[in-house]
Amino acid sequence: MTKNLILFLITFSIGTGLLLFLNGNLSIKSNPLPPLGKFLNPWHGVWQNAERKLPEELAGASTDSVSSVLIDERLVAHIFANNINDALYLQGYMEARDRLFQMEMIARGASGRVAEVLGERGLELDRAALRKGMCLAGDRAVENWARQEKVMVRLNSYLKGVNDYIAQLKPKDYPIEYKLLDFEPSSFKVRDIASIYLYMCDVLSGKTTDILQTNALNALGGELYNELFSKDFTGDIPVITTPVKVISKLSQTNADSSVVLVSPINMKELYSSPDGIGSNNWAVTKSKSATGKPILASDPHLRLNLPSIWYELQISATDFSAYGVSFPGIPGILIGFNEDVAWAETNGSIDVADLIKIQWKDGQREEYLYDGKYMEVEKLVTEIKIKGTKSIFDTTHLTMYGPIKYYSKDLKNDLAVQWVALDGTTPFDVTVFADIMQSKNIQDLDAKLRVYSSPAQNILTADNLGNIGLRVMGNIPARGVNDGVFVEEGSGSKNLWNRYIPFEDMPHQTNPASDFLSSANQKSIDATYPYFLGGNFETYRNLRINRLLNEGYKFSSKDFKAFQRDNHSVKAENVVPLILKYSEGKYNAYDELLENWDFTYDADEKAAVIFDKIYENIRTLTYDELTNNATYETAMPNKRRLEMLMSQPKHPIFDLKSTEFVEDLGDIVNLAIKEVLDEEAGKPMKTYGASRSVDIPHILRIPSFSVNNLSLGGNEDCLNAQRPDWGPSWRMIVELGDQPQAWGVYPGGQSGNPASKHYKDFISTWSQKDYFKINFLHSAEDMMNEESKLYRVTP
Amino acid sequence: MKLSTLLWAFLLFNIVALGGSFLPWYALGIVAFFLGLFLFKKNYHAFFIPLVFCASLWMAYAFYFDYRANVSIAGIISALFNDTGKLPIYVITGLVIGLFGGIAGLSGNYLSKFMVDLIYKGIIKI
Repeated sequence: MTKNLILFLITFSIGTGLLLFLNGNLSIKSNPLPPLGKFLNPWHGVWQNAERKLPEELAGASTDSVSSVLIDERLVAHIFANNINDALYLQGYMEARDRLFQMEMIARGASGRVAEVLGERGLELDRAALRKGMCLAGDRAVENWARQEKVMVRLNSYLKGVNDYIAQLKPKDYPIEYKLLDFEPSSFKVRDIASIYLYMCDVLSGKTTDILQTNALNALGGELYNELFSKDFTGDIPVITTPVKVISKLSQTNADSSVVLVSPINMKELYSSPDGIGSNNWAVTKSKSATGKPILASDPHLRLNLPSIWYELQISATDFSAYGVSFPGIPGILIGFNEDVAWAETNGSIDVADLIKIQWKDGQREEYLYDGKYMEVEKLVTEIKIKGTKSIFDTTHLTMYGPIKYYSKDLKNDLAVQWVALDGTTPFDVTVFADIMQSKNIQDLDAKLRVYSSPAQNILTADNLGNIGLRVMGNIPARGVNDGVFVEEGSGSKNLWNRYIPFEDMPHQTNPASDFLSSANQKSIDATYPYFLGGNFETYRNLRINRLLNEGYKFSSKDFKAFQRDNHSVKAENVVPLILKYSEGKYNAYDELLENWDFTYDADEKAAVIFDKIYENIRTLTYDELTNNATYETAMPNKRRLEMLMSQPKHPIFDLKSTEFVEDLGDIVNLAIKEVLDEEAGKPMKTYGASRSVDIPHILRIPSFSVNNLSLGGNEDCLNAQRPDWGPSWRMIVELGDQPQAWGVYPGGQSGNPASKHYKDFISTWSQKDYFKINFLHSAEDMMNEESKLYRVTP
Repeated sequence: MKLSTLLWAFLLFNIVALGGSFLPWYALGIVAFFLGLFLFKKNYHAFFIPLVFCASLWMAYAFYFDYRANVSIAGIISALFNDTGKLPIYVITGLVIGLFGGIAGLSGNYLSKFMVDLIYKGIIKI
């Protein structure tokens, strides 16, 4: 009897344990597996994520008046509604349907809620969101929008679409990633839209280089720093090429306001993104267009991820029809066109985030010096929930400038961040792109940009009337020279921003004599502009695109496609002859390779690999004052500066501090080549594509949901500014006309479901640098075929 | 073992599997527990019959859902588990529920034997 009881108890305990483990109730540390019982259950688990034909109806969707959605063969949604709110509702519904997990994770990432679903692995991301001020900025954005009725109506329409989709989901329908991480989708709130907006602001304008610049200033001294870090380069072409008639003068307070910290800071700049990004856009007027109407090209470069950052769609209501890409979670079309206008943005790369050193009263972080008085710091305690363990509570110290971003051990170098996205008082409209997509011409579109806030962008526009325009948009603090470049003292109010550059004074230009406009993340405008615009600007791509557009006469979309694929490097074109001059034919193999190179970064090119290595060595050796600084990490001068210095071969910068000789450029070049020869000795010479492959990782970095090791050409100094992890995120070309013709492609697919054939189906076209012809429909019935599906949505 | 016992087990497991959309994943294990308690006489029957039936049902349904898909979901799951291949994924799917069902059946069977002992010794009177 006892034996059977014991055996029953043993088997029952094993069974119960197995049940709890397979159900995910027993958490085992470092167990990477999902709860296998739930996960592999054929009726609720991952097997249900197998993609079948499109459903018969959009379950749970209802609009104020009858609307239609056509899903085409590429899974692009064409929305036809009778009013803007229904249109935004359906945008929200379709984005949630295809990108729910992506939207939720971006919202979590920007609001410090990743650890809640990822466990301790997400803790650093959550802390970073708090340090950068994203959580605080998100709360302030919500308060800001709550004061604007129009914004709230639109946001609520969009959110209702998202939430109606979520509400009809059964656990079996949850995207795979929810099942892997074993959590349920949350309903979306205005705060989540704020987080997604903040994510965008952070990626494109949250970067600070103030610590690196301060350290560079300390390492070089003022005179050499100014020479090496000057943003003026021979032949440079800014985004806006004509002077702007400034209405509001820069006040004396702004003109010389910055109080710079002079001692170096032994901290690493955190949370950085690469310089210059890589985006391009350009447009030509009818005079330079083969079609007799303007043509616009858009090529924003962003970090590559799966699902892609963009979602392609058409949004139509009674009086407009627009097509382009949205950023899932933000209402409207960010880059696109309608029947009258096309618009595209590149990042302004303007410095809109400053680091301010806070002087505490004592070792307590309770009060800080500000304008001769000690002010009490505001402490914001945030709970960070961590899956599988206890929550932690993180304290953010909020100063007049913003939250403390960098904490130092001795409290002497605590740095607060002052960032435009933290401004909750200046009204702004996150639904501005829902207005832009309804524009009738470029003036109409331009007027709508007044309520745009952040991140600062170069927005290029073209219309059917033949006009083209370019404007730097977004809130940019009105500053004096070098204000905000370095870490600044926070003990006085001088470094607190007091106003933005007025909309009328922002750099802008329409219908130039050259008949084209372009931007490529280069500096916005020349030094005659009375406001100081700091930033990390690109310096080679703008030369290339201006050259191409100047040389040509009547451009077609075919030419513009070739430009977007262009792998020619102006940097290589200018620097290779100088290398060859000083190598004097001593290095046969390399000399021959470089001599015969056409300066293109094609995937099968070998010379590009050797040039990059030699160039990096020259750069490191030249700036040994900075690169050999073991104590402090410093900024590096712009790449174009090196090219300009190379025209002065005896410049003292080429002297190596570690030797007793006085080196010149020739010595540096020869040393750089020898180092490459030594490094490469005995190794087979790789092609460029093989030496720098491109990865498109899944948002959770799950290898099997990622596409890795693509062998592609392109380089950050080419128009095709491909990098291993960044690249062309939405290539679009629009020929305006009575019926606009457009082509587009992005690296990914419309579906966020890794088990869908539409998850990465655009990647092959994208990596071959080809395009899809865009189906810009007049009505939902325009494209009925076997592969499309039409839905009616009723009240 | 009588054929009717096997048929009963087969029928019950299939009925529960048909309701898979409404029931939790461990429903088959609960059925196995009660079959072990009331139907099976021998331990190895109570363990292996639920193991085989539960595993087969999950594998069959998994195969069916995969077969209907545009893109093989077994391939996607396999890639998640170090590219083990599709067949091992079906086997793992079957093993997860099979082992749980087998243990549940065995546990039910030991409970049954313990109850019989209690009745035999007169501790429980029927």
